[in-house]
Amino acid sequence: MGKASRDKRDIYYRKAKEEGWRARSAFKLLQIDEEFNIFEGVKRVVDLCAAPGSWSQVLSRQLYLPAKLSPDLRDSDLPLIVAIDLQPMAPIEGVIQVQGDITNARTAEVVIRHFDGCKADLVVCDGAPDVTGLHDMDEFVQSQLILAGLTIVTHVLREGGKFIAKIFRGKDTSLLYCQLKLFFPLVTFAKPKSSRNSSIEAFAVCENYSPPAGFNPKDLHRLLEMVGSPSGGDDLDCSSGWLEGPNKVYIPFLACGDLSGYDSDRSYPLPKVADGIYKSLDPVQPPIAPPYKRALELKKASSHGIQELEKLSLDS
Amino acid sequence: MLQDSAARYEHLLAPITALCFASNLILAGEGPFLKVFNKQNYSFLKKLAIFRSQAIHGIIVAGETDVAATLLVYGGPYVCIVVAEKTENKPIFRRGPVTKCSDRVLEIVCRPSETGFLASGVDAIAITAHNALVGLTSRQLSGNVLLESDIQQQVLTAATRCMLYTATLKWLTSEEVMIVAGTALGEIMVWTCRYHAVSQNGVDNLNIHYFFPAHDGSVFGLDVFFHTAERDSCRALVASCSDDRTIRIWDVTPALASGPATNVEDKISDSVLADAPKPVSAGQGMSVQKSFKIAPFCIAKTWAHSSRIWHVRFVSRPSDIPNSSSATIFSFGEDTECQMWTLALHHDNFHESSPAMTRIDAFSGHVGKNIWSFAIAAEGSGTYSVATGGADGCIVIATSANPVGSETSSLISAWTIEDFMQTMPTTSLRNEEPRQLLAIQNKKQKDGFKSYGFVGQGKLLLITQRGAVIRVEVSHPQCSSIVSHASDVESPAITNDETQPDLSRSRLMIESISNEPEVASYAILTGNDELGMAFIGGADGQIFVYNDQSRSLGRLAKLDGKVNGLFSCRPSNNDKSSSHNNLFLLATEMGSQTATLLIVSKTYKPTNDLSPPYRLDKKIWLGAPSNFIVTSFLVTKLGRWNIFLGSRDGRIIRYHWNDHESEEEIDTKLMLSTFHDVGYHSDAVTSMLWRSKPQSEEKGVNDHDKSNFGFLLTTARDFTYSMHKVVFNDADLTSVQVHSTTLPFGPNIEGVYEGKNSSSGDLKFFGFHSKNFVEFSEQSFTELMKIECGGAHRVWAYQPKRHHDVPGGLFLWTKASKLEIFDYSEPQCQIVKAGGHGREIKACMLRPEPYQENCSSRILATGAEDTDIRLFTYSEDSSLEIKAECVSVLRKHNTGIQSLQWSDDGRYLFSCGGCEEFFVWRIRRFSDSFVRIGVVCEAILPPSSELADLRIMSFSVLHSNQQSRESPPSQSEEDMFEIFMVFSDSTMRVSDQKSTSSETND
Repeated sequence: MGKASRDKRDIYYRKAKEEGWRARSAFKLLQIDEEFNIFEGVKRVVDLCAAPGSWSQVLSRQLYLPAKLSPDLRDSDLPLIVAIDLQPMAPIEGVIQVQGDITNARTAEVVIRHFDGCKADLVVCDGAPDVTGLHDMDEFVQSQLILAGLTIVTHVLREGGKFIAKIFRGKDTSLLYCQLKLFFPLVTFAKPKSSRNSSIEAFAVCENYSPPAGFNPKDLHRLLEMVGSPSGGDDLDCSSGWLEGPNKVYIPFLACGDLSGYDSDRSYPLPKVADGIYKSLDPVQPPIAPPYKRALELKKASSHGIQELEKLSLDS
Repeated sequence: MLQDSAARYEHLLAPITALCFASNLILAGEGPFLKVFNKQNYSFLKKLAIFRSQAIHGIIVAGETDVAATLLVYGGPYVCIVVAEKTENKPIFRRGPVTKCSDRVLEIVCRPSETGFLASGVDAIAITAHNALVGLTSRQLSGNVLLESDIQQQVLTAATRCMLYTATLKWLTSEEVMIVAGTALGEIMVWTCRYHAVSQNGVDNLNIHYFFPAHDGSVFGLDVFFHTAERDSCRALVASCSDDRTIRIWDVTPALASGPATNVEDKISDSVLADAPKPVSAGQGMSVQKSFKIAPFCIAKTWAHSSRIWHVRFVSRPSDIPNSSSATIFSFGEDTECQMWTLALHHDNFHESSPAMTRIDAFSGHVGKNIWSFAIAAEGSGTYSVATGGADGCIVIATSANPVGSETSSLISAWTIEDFMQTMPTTSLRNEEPRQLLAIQNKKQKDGFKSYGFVGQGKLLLITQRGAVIRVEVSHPQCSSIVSHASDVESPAITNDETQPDLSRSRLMIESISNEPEVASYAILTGNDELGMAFIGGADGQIFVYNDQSRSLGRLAKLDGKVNGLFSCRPSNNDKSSSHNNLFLLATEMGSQTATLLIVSKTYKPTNDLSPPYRLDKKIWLGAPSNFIVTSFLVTKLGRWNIFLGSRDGRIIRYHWNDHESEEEIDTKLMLSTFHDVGYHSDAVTSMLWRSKPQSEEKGVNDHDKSNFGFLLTTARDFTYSMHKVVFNDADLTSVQVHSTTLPFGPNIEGVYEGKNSSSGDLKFFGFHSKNFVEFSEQSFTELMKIECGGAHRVWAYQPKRHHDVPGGLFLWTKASKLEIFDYSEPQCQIVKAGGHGREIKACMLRPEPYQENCSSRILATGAEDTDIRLFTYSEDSSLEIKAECVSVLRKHNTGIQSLQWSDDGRYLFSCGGCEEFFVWRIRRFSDSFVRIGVVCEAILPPSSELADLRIMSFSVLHSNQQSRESPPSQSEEDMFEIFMVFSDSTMRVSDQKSTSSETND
């Protein structure tokens, strides 16, 4: 799909480029904020799986820049934003980057150090694995990513803090909801308007972090496994079995983004401009190095006359 | 254990996520169901629900006795025991207990025991998605008790933090196990441990040998291979594949050395150690050895598939090939391809010279994306049966065509003109042409192959540039013994290199028939392999006739100008009175609008009779419309004689005459100048097939209706084939296009034939697709054969094996002045279970039952992201095991289908997609025709936007002048539809659509 065609079919893609966002997903966080007011009173925030950095940009523009520009600025008032990813990303004003693995306990320590020993008010996570197409595999990998996020949350989030994470709605959604409810009394699954209806993506908005009394982060997995079979081990057939019938869990689900907002499943005409042709903008931040980058380079080279792909060196 | 729920699966077509060969069975996991097929004839045997909704990810044979086999079937965190009892007919499958592990199970292996498999019961270990080992045991020894007892589960090692996409387990001894795990972050961990009987303390002696970054992306597939070299030294090789599109081979031999590893120069960081698997039982303590941090030696890397690679698998060397210095690897990818590789291992010190990994075969029988599962079985002499299961729900079995070690495909052979001239014995020249003449000509100027025509099964006539007419008989390598018996002095069998006879190549028997200077440098050749005749036209208008029975060439007729087209056809056999030895020959000449029709009879005479073995019965002239260049020709008798001609610009016309007119003498000039238009293609019509309505129907209900009708199937060089229903009313004719479909190859569709199973729409099309010659089945919707030949501009001939059970054929073409012969005896990929789209299905609609039809099956239309619409027949007969069968694929949309709807009477199907595509399809059912469901795209709604790139999200259709469904619509009635559409810019539009139903009684 060409840039112009995508501009038309995807209003948020076009708006993201016009407004300088690195990815259209920036609008999702903005729309979640419209509904849940998640940035209120937030001084310390962690962005997990941050690259290419659109959510960090939102945090920077919503929290850091207003504070910096306010007339009675004191340095200690500036919000602290820490972004974690395995991949490096281009710098963003007011965002401290940590290159590391979110599943590693060391990373949590680094974050706390950046906060001068304090804990975070908000943790956000927009990470998703490359979908394979095998649905139960994709849901499993995504739920593992959220649990990894939850692991770091139990280390860095202050009591009463908030956690926003991308989820895939699937057959294990109820299980995930119950697991999150262990730590957050208020959990809502939200679907921002900028997230396509055709996508199974949604966001878990978890508020008021209150771990169980005497909770030790080391016990997290044992605790979560207990949720896995609440009916006492007769869950031998399939995971959704225990959620059928009267015991079915009700999950609060909320669409967000007001009616005046753009519809992500709709095509919009390109705006009329003076010279008659709308100039499609290049993406703000080109895609980060994908694993098959070198394979693509070789393919390109072969189309320019180099035939023997296998002969080309794989080392570089 | 399955609870009754309100809705149950009656039929399921889902991605095949597990496959396993078990003795003479194929076991497949399709969604939560285990499906069983016979490995020999692919018949469906059994369906068994294993889980309620969890898909099956793996099936292994855990134990086997003479009477029963124990299977472990797993999916997600669940493991289920299934017992298969062997009986005379169908095996009986019974589902046993299910256990749930704490994590997703990636692989299960059974523990080897001294006596092979356990007689019954289970002793296995599983590896989970977080690199933890779980012991699974069930000790009961009687098959029945096994079903009632639970699986004992023992967690052996603790889970690690990092998630694995793949892991594999290999037993080094009956106690020691090697684990190779691939993480989502592209690392590979190799570790070993000792596993005790379940009553003891689980595992100890845990060693982590390697933990290293292996790929740029996630590791999706892994396998381990133990290569025993000549000096008894065993090497351990790990193959890995990833979303970085590479396959890499690692030498992890040092991990085989028992005991702690020695090289500890680089300390593993504490965080890695903290994340290492460790025994659960506290008593064993931390017996984790710090070891290599350096990565093992990567002995080979190769670019493999065009997208993500899901699986890689070593296959063990066949025992009948000693001193193997190579390994065979299969890889399976998102691109639906299975690729076969050979890895050279001949260097003792292969650390220094990197061994080459070479792709030796690649095949795919799936549509859409992704091979999710596979199974491999060695079939002896170095060939393998590979079963693959795709996201399309299809199971395909391919036989790797290349025996291990051979470099090129053995099915193609190439011959130069010199091969022919050298081996042509002088005694074989029947005509008076001296052998010496050929030799003299050879010296002057190089001869070459000119034209080919088949005169019998595997027999062909060819003409060289110099006008030599040569008969060639091709025999398949397997039949070589027969050939040597048959060969005599006159027609010796030759091979390309007589000093080193290559038995794998086709063998040829050649025989010189004649040498005709009149057809030198220009010749048109057409053969009729059913009757064993061929015709040759020359530049001066001379037409020769060849009779294969007497091996004789004679002069049939002479036209005024240069012959530029020769077409032969036997009239269809509906009319019993017509002689089976009749052949119609149509000859066209350069610069003339008149075509000459010759009716020839083959006569059988003793070979010593000097009169010609054919007879010219009749000569008819056809006055063709201007600029009508004949490209195809068909004769049929239905009351009258009907001649159908197809032209280079896509026009199809019909001539006719009555029988009494044919009583005329040969020399009476019967000139036919009136013709009727039958139909159109947008490019040259390449072939035609005819089927008259069944005889029984003629005497039945339609007695009052004197019209005769039949179906004309045509192929063209416009990607399509189509079917017309042709109704004859005395001399007049009406024709309606009732089916027209784009094929997934082309544009040059060159021909079609009906397979053996002709009652169920078994049509096979052949033609060219870029540089390949392709044969495609419109019954299974798969490519049967593909051979690179250079493209449609080659001189070629194709003879399908029409009467064989499996498809096959003989394709020959000229390439670099060589005659190349490809003899294929069966498709490389055979379908065990047919599939569907292979991409997301977006729409699905059941057809309302029209009042006329009284079928036991209904029609279901599905539209998917692969841009196709498929029509399935869905049988209401609950006794059938396979209820849904795809009977038609509609390939016209260029974007994914968004929505589908039938008209109330089921005669029309409406479909919409992206780029404002909206099509109206006319759907007809046929009981005795070339196709079971006829499909014609009758209307395309013009886009309403300036730049048509909106998606039509949904629509609703109103039949404006709806007839009551009980009464048939009147003949003249027009169908009027109002179409309400919603677009992706949130606008709604209404459109009117008119359709003239010129023919309603089908």
